[in-house]
Amino acid sequence: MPQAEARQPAPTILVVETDILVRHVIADYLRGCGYRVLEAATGEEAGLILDVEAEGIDIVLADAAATGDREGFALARWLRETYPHIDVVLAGSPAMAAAQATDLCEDGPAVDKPYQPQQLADRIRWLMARRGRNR
Amino acid sequence: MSAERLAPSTVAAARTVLLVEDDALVRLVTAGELRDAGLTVIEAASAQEAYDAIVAGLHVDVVFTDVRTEGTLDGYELARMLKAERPGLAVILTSGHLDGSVAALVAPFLAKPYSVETVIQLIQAQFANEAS
Repeated sequence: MPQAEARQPAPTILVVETDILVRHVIADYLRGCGYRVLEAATGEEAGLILDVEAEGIDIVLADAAATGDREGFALARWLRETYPHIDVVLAGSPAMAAAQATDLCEDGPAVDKPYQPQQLADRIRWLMARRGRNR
Repeated sequence: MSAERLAPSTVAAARTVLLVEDDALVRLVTAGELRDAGLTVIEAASAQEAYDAIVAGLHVDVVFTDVRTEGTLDGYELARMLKAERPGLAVILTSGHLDGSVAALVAPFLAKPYSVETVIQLIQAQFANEAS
């Protein structure tokens, strides 16, 4: 009898995004697509997580406008030099982050996708509008 | 006992925890253990982020916040604001520095370092109080 195949661990994505609404919605969506998702609010936080978890991270989806000493483009450059095994995806806006996430979802391990691409962008826009109104 | 063995049967399904912690690695580990226990977790790196998430309308059942967080709004002040503005929302405070008796005047307090099992027990106690 053939040995049962060991189950492959879910690919891991580190989402680096300054805005909690965008970060949470994107991360939640990618979890629904079957990925293991880690979250960082800044480039510095991403660096701390990568220091201990880099071997287990496959993709970094980063906000190009992430602030701090290690903003998005600097983070991407540092990642490509330091961890060449990690694919880096940069997004310049919440809408672009939603589009990148839906592309990743298409390649994701889950068969049933959580919802349509446009719904992801709409949900982020709706939450940001509510926050602006209620602040 | 592992977090996985506690849940999800013992933790009410689809409960959402807003975890407020400015140490990225502590947040990563705690969020992962709470998710393994069957909870949905929203991660906030500051009290201000947490407040933003709530006013934006993200669904939250319980806020678990560090007292000392970066920024002008800290976890203690967040708890005070939520108690006034959202009296039905459960809040749990944690700190490795603060005297628990002070924090406990505002919300249930858990001293650091904590185990995730203790966090889950406190969360369950909040839901039990809510139900009674």
